[in-house]
Formats: sequence, C-alpha cells, structure tokens
Amino acid sequence: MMKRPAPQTALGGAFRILEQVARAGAGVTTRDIVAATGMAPSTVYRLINQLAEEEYLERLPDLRGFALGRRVAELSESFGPTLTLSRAAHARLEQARADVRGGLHLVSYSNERVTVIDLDPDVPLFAPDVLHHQPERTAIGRLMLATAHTRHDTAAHAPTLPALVETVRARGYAIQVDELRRGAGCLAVPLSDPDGRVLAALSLATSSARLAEPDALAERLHRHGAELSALIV
Amino acid sequence: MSELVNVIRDPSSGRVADAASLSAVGDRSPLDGLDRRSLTPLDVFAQSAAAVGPAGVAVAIPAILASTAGSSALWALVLAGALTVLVSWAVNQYTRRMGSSGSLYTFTVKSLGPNVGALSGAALALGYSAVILFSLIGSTLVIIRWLGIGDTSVTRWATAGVFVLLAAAVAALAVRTVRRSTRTALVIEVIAIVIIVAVTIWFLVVIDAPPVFEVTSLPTGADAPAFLTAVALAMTGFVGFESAASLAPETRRPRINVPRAIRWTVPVALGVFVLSMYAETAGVRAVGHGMGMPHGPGTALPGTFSAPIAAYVLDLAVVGSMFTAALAHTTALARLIMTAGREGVLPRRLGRLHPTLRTPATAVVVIWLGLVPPATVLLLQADPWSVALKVLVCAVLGFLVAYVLVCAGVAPFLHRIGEWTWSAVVGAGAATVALLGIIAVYAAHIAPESWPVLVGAGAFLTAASGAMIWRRVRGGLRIGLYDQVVGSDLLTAPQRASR
Repeated sequence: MMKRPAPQTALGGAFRILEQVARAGAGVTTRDIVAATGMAPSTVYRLINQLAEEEYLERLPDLRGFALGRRVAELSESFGPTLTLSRAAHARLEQARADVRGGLHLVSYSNERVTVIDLDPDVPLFAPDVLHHQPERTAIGRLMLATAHTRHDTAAHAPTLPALVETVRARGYAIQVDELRRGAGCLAVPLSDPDGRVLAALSLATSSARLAEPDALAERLHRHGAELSALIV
Repeated sequence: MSELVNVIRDPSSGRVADAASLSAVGDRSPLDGLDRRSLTPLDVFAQSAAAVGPAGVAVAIPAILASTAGSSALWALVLAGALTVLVSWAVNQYTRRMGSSGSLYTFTVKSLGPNVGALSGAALALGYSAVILFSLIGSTLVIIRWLGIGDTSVTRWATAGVFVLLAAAVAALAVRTVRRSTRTALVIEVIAIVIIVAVTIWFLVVIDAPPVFEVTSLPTGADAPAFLTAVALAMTGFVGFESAASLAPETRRPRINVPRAIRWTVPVALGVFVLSMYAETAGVRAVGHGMGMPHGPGTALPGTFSAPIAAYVLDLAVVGSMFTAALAHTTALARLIMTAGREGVLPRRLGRLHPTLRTPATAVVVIWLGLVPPATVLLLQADPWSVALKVLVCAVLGFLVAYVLVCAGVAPFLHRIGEWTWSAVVGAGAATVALLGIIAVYAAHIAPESWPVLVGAGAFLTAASGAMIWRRVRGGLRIGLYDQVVGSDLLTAPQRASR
C-alpha cells in the first residue's frame, strides 16, 4: 500500500483511522492501523480510544480488534436526505396535507435512523433532538422501533418499550399524545415496500383533541400512505 | 475516504478483517438486563464520591494522622493524594477501554488471568463488605448516642433495632433503580461535604488560625518511618474512588464518563481532607485540640471551645456520609456478586436481576442477610467502636490488594490488546511499587495491635479465592465477563458482514 505522510492534525488522524477501519474491515487491530497509516503508535492508541469513547469505533470482544460503530452513520446526515421525492410524489403529499390538516411530515427509516424527507413547511418538527436520542418518546420513533428488521437492545431505550412496541404492532400505527408538549401529539403510519418492509412513515402532528379518537385518523393516513408509497418505494 | 462513505451509504457492504473476532459479537451483552445507559456523568461521580465518603473521612482521619506524623501530617496527606491519583490513572487504563460490573475483579482477570483475578475478586469483596459493616455500625453508634440511651439493658435492643433499620434502608435503596440510589447518595454526600467545609472554615475563623506554613513542617530524615506510616494511613482515606467502574454498563458514554468520575473523585476528596487536616493542625497549635473525633463517635468538637450545635451538625454529616458509603459499597458489591454469579463462579441465581427495577436484587438480599451475623457479634462487644475500627483495617487491606493487582496488570493488559506504551507501563509500575510499599508499612503499623485481623483477612483471601478457582476449574467456566459490544452497536451487523 502506498504510504502517505502522517496527518498534521488530530482530526485528520481520526479520519485517517476511520477510513482505514472501513478499508481493512471489522476486526482490524491497532497494529494493523499503525502499519497502514504510518502514524506514530502512541498517536494511534490515543485517537482510537477517543474514537471508541465517542462510539464511532467499537472494540470487539477480544479487546484487540475494532469495527465501525453505529454512530458513524450520523456522519451521513450531512450528505442530505437519502431519498428525493419525484414531482408526482410531492404533489400527492401536498394533496394529503390539504386533506388531513395539521403538520404532515414524511420521514424515512434507514439503518434504523430517522431521516427527514419532507417537512411540512407550516409546522416545524416537534423535537428533533428527542427524535434522535430518545426515539421511544416520539410516534415516529416508536413506529421505527416496532418495525425494525433487527432486534433492538430494548434495554438501551426504556423499560416500557416492549409494551409500547406491542401496542404499535397491534394497532398498525404509533401515537404519542401530550407526552412532549401539552395539548399536542403525533400519529405515525408506516409506508412499506411491496415486500412489506417498512421504509418510511407519514407523521401527523396535531392537537390532542383530534387524537382522542385516533383510529379514524389513522385510517385516513393509511390511505394516503398507501398511495404515496406506490410513488416512492 | 471513499471506503468510509461507501460503508456508511450501505452498511451491508462492510468488510471483515478478522471473522473470528467479529463472530464473537452477540446480540446481547453478558451483563444484559441492567438499566443500560441510565446514569449521567454526575450519577457515576456520585457513586465514587459516596464510596470514599469524604465528609466522614475528613472528620475521622486528621486526628489519626496528626498523632502519627505531627506537624508534617498535612504533607503526608498530600503525598498520599498524589499516589492515589497515580493509582486512579492506572485504573483508568482499563475503564477507558472496557466496562464491567465486576470492576477491578474483571480487569484483573483480563490482565493477570483467572487465578490472580480470583484473588482480586476476594479482596474486593472483603473490602466492600467490611466498609459496609463499618459504616453501618459507626452510624448506628452515633444515632444511639443522640437518642440519649445510656448504658442500660435497653441499649442492646435499641442498637440492634437502629442497625437493622439502617441496613434495611440501604438494601431498599440499593434495590431501587440505580439512578435513584446514586441520586440519593449524591444529595446526602453533598450536604455532608458542605456541612464539613462550613464547620471547618468556621472553626478556622474562630481560632484565628495561623497560615498553613506556620503550623506545618516538611518531614525530616529522622521522622521518615512515622511520616511513611502517615502516608499509608492517609491513603486509606481514599479507598472507594474506583467505585464508578462497577456502574459502567449502566452509564451513558461509559468510556468517557466512568474515567472522568474516577479522575475527579480523588482531587475533590483531597481538597476536603487537606482543609480539615489544616484545621486539625492549626487547632492543636491555637487551642490545644482539633475538631475531629479521635476516640470514636460522639467526641466531635471537644473542649471548652465547642458550640453544641456544631457538634450535632458535624455528627449529622458523619452519619450521612457513612450511610451513603454503605449504600455505594452495597451497590458495587451487589454488582460484583452478580457478575460472578453470571460467570458461574458463584451460584447462578446470584446473577439474576430484578425484572423491572433492573438491579441485582438477589445479591443485595444476600448481602443484607450476610451482614446480620457479624453485625450481631460486633454490636454485642463491650466497646463496639474499637472493634469496628478493626473491621475497617480489613477493608483497607482488601482494597489495597485489589489496587496493587490492577496496577500490576496494566502492562500485561496493554500488551495483550496491542496498545503497549512506555509511559503507561512506567506509570503503572511506579504505582505498583508504591502500593506494595504502602501495604508493607501499613501492615507493619497495625500488626502489633491487630495481628488477628491480618491473619483473618489472609485466611479469608486464601479460602475465598481458592474456592473461586476450584469452582471455575471444576465447572470449566470462562470468567472475565464484561459489557462487550453487541451487534446493534456496530455499523455493519455481524450476520450481514459474514454473508
């Protein structure tokens, strides 16, 4: 492999290490990284431990090898949305907005993270922070956790999560009323691909009063969602 | 950085360098079931700070040090603090890289192997349980004195009653969610420290204390043995600083927050100790006595100078500090027992957690039951306080043995994981040598009076670690469980990567 000059800054070194872990693959050891990057061993040890402390890298069970952590996926947020809406899909979404009133947002689920595809311009997202860090407190997050393909470490979220997940699965939609803001709530329905995999969600932010009887509202959102998903996925 | 971008866009394209090490990644941590990532940085700091119990130690230790090293006692304390900083740095070589409810026991298994690890586990268990016993007996005795029950036939019943109530309160708090128990410990310990610092400053003002350098002196060559003894005794005041390590699986960003809690506990405790040591030395110079309790609980602020209210407030701080120390060490001991239970070194049932509270409830109950017989014996003694102090000697020995093993393990550990550096190895080597010296000086100091305690502690360590080794070998058990990475922590899940 071609040797490159050692990076000048810690940040440069950190990215060089992440890149090397991606290139070499899971299980790469510090010794391999030192050899491949040409950086000083003590610098590599320090940066690797800092990256592991921040959970961009994870130490494998033998304590020697490393793999990229899930948190690396956060870096991709700066790449912008992974999904762009066609003109037809956008028109269909606007039609749904006119029909249901309230803040209707379209989000996608990829790598078990929420990415906003199209925000309702009139209504900002309730609590983007909560959505990312405590998804189980939001309707969008609950729907994601309930429909995730891989098993989640539910204990990492909340003790009440299994119950929440059961409710979402039984009803076919996720709801949150008065939990983040008094008098307001959110209802999210899934958008699935032809194989039934949930890839995105439509979420309606509205008053608690309208969410008092959610089944009818969910039914309407499901209808919009079904047509919209035919245009997207 | 195209490869990084590719794998972020499509995690299933992740490459594999070492399939064997990746295949060891499971769906669940071996310490699964704890209330993961529920503790904030402040909570884990509370665990370490409460385990040290700076308020209680600050009242008790200055008189002991002053009677050993005289006017150079303050510098013995500072040197002991510096040594403890070095030991805490060695402990953090592990906590930055792994987390385990088994704390130093698990670290030693991972560095010096399962047999030495068993010794560490036994030593930690001895230290934890002896501190719990000492703290509960100490606070019981102060409360009994408050109640004003003299030396009558009801004393024993009242003492037993107070002890059982305190122990039940500790057990109940330890079983509740880990966050509630650390928060409770934090509040009580902060109040206790504020009281100690306020009363100490008030004392210094009232006696019009002379400047530090007038009342203290650096040790001379002739004082060396006494000075070193004082350093060893002072170091005992810091034990428990590593306690945050046992909560790593329950902490947010544990590899940042646990080392930080351990790193900050020692200087904070040292600050409180130095202030009260200064008050002691200045007090002896100015009014003939300090403000501590040289002869047991109930003698705080002696002499003509004292205001009764200050003595009560000080006692309150001591009781609070002892109570939180008992709580913090119960929390740590329960997690140690739970880890050994999961490994099978102790009965598997002890590895169970409470299904909703997510705490090692079975282990807490076992600790509580285990405390009753020795406590009964101790409280029936004619002078329970002096017996309690002997228990404390046990505790200190347990901790020092565990510390020396963890320091000695740094070099093999770093070698094993391929991160060996000279600075780490030299630092840890210095800490090991210093600790061995401290243990020798401490043992020599207490041997004439407390040799049965030394023999008893040695016998316990031999028997307990022997039993652990026997169970491990007979059962073919793999020990050293820690909170290892699970598939959902990785960008590329193992099953997808291996496809």
